Amino acid sequence: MRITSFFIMLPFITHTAQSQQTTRIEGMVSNALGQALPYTNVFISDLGIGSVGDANGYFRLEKVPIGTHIVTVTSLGFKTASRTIKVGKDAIKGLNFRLEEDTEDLEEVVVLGKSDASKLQESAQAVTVVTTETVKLQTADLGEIMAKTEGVSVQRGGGLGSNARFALGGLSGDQVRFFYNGVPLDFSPYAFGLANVPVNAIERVEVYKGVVPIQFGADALGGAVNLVPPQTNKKLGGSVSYQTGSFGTHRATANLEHYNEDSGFFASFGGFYDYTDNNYKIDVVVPNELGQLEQFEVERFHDAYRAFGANFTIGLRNKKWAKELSLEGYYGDYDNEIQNSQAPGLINEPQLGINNAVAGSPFGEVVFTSFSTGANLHYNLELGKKWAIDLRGGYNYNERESLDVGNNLYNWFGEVVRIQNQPGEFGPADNLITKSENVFARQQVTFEISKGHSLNLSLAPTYGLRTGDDLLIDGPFDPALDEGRLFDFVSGLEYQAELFNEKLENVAFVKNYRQNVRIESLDPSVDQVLVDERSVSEFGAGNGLRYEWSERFSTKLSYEFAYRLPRLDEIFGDGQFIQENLELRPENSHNINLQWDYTGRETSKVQWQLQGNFFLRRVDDLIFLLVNADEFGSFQNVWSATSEGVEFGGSISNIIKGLTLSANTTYQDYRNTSDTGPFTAFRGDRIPNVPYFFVNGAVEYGFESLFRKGDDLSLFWNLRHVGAFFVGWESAGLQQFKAEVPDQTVQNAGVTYRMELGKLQNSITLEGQNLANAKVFDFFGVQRPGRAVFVKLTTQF
Amino acid sequence: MKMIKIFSLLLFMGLFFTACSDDDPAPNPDPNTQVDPDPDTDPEPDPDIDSGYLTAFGVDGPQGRVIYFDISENVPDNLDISNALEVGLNVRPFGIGDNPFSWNSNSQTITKYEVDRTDLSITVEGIVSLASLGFNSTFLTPAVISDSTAYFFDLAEGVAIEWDYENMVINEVINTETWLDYISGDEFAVTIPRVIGDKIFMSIREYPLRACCDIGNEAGIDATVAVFDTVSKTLEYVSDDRLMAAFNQIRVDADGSIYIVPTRENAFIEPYYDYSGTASPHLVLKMNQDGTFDSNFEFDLASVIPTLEKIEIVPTVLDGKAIVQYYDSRDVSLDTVAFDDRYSVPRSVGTRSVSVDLTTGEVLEFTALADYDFTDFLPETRGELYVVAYSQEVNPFDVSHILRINSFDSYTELSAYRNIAAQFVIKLWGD
Repeated sequence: MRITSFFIMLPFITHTAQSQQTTRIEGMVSNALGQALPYTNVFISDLGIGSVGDANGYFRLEKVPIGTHIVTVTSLGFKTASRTIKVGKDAIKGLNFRLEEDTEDLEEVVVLGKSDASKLQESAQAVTVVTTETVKLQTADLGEIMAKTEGVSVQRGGGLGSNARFALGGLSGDQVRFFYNGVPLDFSPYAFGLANVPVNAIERVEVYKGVVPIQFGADALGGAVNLVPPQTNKKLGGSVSYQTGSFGTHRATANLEHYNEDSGFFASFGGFYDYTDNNYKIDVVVPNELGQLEQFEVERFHDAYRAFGANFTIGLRNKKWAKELSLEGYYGDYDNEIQNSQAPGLINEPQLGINNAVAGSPFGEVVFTSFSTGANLHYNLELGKKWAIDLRGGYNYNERESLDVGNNLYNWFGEVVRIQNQPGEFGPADNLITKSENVFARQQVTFEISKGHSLNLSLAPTYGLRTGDDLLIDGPFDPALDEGRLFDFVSGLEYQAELFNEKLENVAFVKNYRQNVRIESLDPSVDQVLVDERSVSEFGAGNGLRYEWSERFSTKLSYEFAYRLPRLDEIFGDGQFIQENLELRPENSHNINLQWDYTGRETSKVQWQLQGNFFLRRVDDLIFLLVNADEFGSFQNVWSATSEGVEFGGSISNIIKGLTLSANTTYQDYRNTSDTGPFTAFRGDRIPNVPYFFVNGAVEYGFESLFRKGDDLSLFWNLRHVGAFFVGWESAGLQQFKAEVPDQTVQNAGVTYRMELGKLQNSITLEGQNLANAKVFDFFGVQRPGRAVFVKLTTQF
Repeated sequence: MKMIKIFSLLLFMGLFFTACSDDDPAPNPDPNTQVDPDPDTDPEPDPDIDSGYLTAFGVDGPQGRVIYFDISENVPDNLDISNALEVGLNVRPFGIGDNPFSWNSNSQTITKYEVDRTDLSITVEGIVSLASLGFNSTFLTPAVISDSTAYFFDLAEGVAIEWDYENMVINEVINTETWLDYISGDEFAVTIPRVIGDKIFMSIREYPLRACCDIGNEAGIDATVAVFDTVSKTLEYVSDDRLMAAFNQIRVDADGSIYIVPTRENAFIEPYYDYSGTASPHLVLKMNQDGTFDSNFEFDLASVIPTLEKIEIVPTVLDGKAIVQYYDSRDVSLDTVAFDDRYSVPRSVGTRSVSVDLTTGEVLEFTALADYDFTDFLPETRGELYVVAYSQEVNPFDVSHILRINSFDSYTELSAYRNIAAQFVIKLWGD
C-alpha cells in the first residue's frame, strides 16, 4: 500500500533536483484529535516537489527553493489542507498540519497507509496496542493508563513509585513478562516496574494476551507487555515535559534526537526525573495509652519516591551492510521510602466507630534503593529480498538495597513514640544488598519463502548471575553471598502465511524452553563450596489466525501452550525455612483468545468501532510455597486454575463534532480447579485477592481554533470502576465477616490546550484525579491517593 | 457554532463538578449486628446450648494462610467452612474463659469475640491495640493470672504489659530488663508463657541461628528462663550452663513439676557452630517454684537413648514420664549433612518416638502417636487436653487431626481435616 502512495507522488519526487538555493521543510500531519496520520502526501505542486509521510505522521520535503510556496497535504478520507509559507535559506521545521475528516463523496476511498500500531493490531497476534500520543500530554502515569485497557488489571500499593501487580486474564507476577523495545525490561533504565515508567518516554504499549510471539524469547504464561519508545527520524527533534501537582509531585522528561538521512547517522538522548512526597491522606486508627483506638485522617509521612535515569542511542541506518546498527546505554536510579507493609492491617468495625482504617504501625525510616545500568547492541540486516537478520544483545548490572535498621517506633502522626531495643520496623533489622548481572541475546532470522509466506527462527538465551551481601552478618558464612546462576534459552520457529489476498493471516509456531540453574554456597560444616544444579527442557506451541471478513469486520483466533520457568529461589529455597525442590516443574498453561473487531463505515461522518475478546486460560502445575505445621516448607507444583472471560470495548466519534466517547469492560472468571494439594477443598472457588470485574469509560470533547487559528482545546473525563473482591476463598467463612476489597470508582477529568508557537508544539494540561475523593483500595488495607490536581507542560519540536 | 462550543463547555463543567461532589456511600450497616427480622413474634429465647467449643483452623490460598473460627457444641468431626468466621491473614487465635480472642500481627491488635450461647453466633466485643508498644510478632500468647488480668511480654524490648481482657484496656506497661542487646542477624523469642503460682515462666529461645558459624553471643548459649513475679511485678533471667539454649521449652507435670526440655535447634550447635562450652544439647532440667533451677536434677536423654542424634520435640511430660520424638543416628547423622540441609535431610528420614521415665530412666517404645508426623500439644482448656496432629499423605500438611488426651499414652482422634490446618481447640463453656 505504501507503494501506491509512492507512485502517486512519483511525478513530484522526480522534480526535486531543479533548484540551486534550496532548503528543507519538516513537519507532522495529524487528524483533528492530534493523532498522527501515516503516509500522507505532502507536496508543493508548482515546483513538483513532494514526499510521502512516514508511519508516525512525520514528513520532509527536500531541496525546496527559497521563495514563497504553497505546501499541500492530502490524505484519503480527509480534507486537503494547504499553507503558504515563506522559505528562506534556513530549514523550516515544525510545519504541522491537522486534517479534518472529509465526509463527502468518500465511497471510493481506500486507506493506503497504516501506522505500525495499526498494522500490529490488525495482525494475527493476540495483541492490544495502546498509543500514548494523546495520554502523554495528560498527567496519569503508565500504570493508570494501562489499567484503563480492557483485559488488564493493575493493582497499586499506593501512589507514584509504589509496587504494582500487573495481571492479564488474572495471571500476574512472573507469569507476565515485560519488555522494552523487544528486550526484557531489566535491560532498560526502567528495570524496577512498569507502572512508574514515564509515559513521555514511550510511544506505544503492546499488550500480548496469553499468546506471545517467539521473538520475545519469553517464558510468559499469561502474556507479555512491550514498551516501544519513539523512533528517531527527525533531523533535529525533541521534547520536554514537566508535571507538578498534589503530594509534592514533580515529573520531568527530556528527549533530543538527530537523524542525518544522507549519512544514516542517528543519535538520541533522553532522561527523566520523578519525585513525590506521596503525602496523601489516609484513614488510620491510633491507640491511646489504654490501647483503645480512635480514627483519624492523617497524611502519609514516609512515602517519598525519587527516580532519575538517562539513556542514549547512537547508530547508523540504511547502509548496505546494515539496515540498522545501534548502541544504547542507560542508567536508572530509584529511592523509595516505605511507609508500611503490603498488609498493614485494616479494621472495619463500625459499631466500634472504626470504618476501614489502617491499624498497624507506620514505618518512619525504611528505605529501598536500587539502580540499573547497562548497554544494548542492535544489528539489523536485510539480505536481498528473502532474508532478514535481527540481532540484539545486552549487558545489565543492577543492585537493590533494603535498609531497615531504625530503632524508632512511629505513630501515624509521624511522631517517635518509642525507641526500641531491637532495630528494624518491617521485622528484624535488615540491610541486604542484592546484585544481579545479566546478559541476553536475541537472534532472529526471517526467510521469505514466497510472497506471503515466511519462516522466522528466534534464539533467545539469557544468563543471570545473582549474589548479594547481608551487611548485618559478618564473616564469610552469609547466605546472601551464595551465587546463583541461571541460564534460560527460549528458542522458537514460526511460519507466517498471508492468503486470499491478505484476508487471511496465519502464524504457527513452536517454542523450546530450556533452563539450567546452578547455585554455589559455602558450607561451614565442611568448609567447602557446595554446588546444586538442575536442567529442564520443555516444548510449547501455538497458532494465531486472523481472517478479514470485510474491510470493517475481522476476527482472530489464537492459541498457545506456554510455560513459565521457576525462579532460582523457588528451586533452591533460602537454606533456612524454605527447602530446595529440585523436582519443581515449570508452570504451564493452555491459552486461547477469540477476538473480533468491527469498524463503522469510513465514509460516515460518525466514526465508531467495537471490539471484543473471549479468552480462556487453563493453567496447571502452579507453584506455591507449601508450609508445614512447624513453619518449614518448599515451593511445589500444587494447584491449577481456569480463567475465562470476556472483554468488550468500543468508541464513537463525532456524534457531535469533536466529541469522542469510549468504554470497555472486562469480566474474568478465574477459578480454582485443583484436584490435589491444599486448595482442593475450594475447587470451583474464585481465586482470592484477584479483581474480576472492571469498567472504564471516557469522554473527550475537542474544540478547534478556540482562541487562535491552529490551536485546540480538549476536555476529557474518564472513569474506572473495579468490582469488590474477597481476600480469602469466597466459599470459606460467613460473608458478612469476610475481608473484602470494596468496590472502587475513580473519576478523573481535565483540560488540555495545544498550540503551536513557531516550530514548537506546546500543550498544557490541568487534570484532577480521583475527583470524588473516593476512598479506594487495590490491596486490602492499602489506601490509594484521594483527590489530586496536576498540571503538565509539554513541548515538542 | 460558537453557541455549541459554549454549551458543550458548560455541559462539561457541570459534569466535572458533579464528579467532584463527595459521593461517599452511605455508611454500611454494621456487619456484626444480626437483626431479628420480627422481634415481636419471638418472645421465647432459645435455651442455652450445653457446651461450646471453638476450633481455629487455617486455610491456604495463593495469598497465604487465612484463619477461621468454628463454634460448635462439640469438637466438630467435619468443619463447615462456609459458616466459619474469617479472622484474617497472619492471625493467632487464643481463648480466655468464655471468649475467643485473636492477635493480628498486621494490625497489631487483639480482638475479643462474644459467642451467643443460644445460637453460637459470634460478634466482635472489643479491640485493644499494642501498636504504640511495637508489638508485631506473629507469635503472641497471653499469660492469664486472674479473671480479668493477663500479661504479654516482649523481652527483647524489655516490656511487660498488664492487660485487662474483660474491659479490653492496657492497665500498665512495665519496663523490665531486656533479654540481651540485639544480636546482629538473629532473632530470639520466648516460648509459651506458663503461669505457676504467682510467677510466669518463659523459656528463652535462640532463634533461628540462621547464620553460621559465630554463635553470636556466648551469654545466650546457656539455657535461660525469664521469671516474672506478678506480685512485685519484676522480671529476672535465670540461666543454667548444663543445657544449651538454642530452643528449650517448659513442660509442667500434673503434680506441678516444672521441666525444661530440649527441642530442635540444640543439636545444631555442635556440628555447625564455633562452640567451646560444655553444655549438653539433650538434658532435661527441672525448675523450682521460686524460679530457680533445681541443681539436683538433670536427666540426659542421650544416656538412655544411645542412638539419639537430634531431639525434635518433647511434647509433654506427665507423671514423670516424657514423650520424646527424636531423630536416630542409625537413620541420619548431622556430621554428614550440609548446613543448608540441616532441617530438610532429617525431616526426610522421619522421627522415632519413645517414652522416657525421668525417674527410673526406663525407655519404652511409644506408638500412640505413631500415625502422625507432627504433634502440637495444646494448653489445657477447662480441664480438657487436646493435641493437634498432622499426617502427611501426598503433600505435607495434607491432613490435620484433633485428638483428645485421655492419659499419657491414650488418645482419641476426634476429627481429621484434609487440606485444613487445625490450630487450636478451646472449650468456651460447659461441664
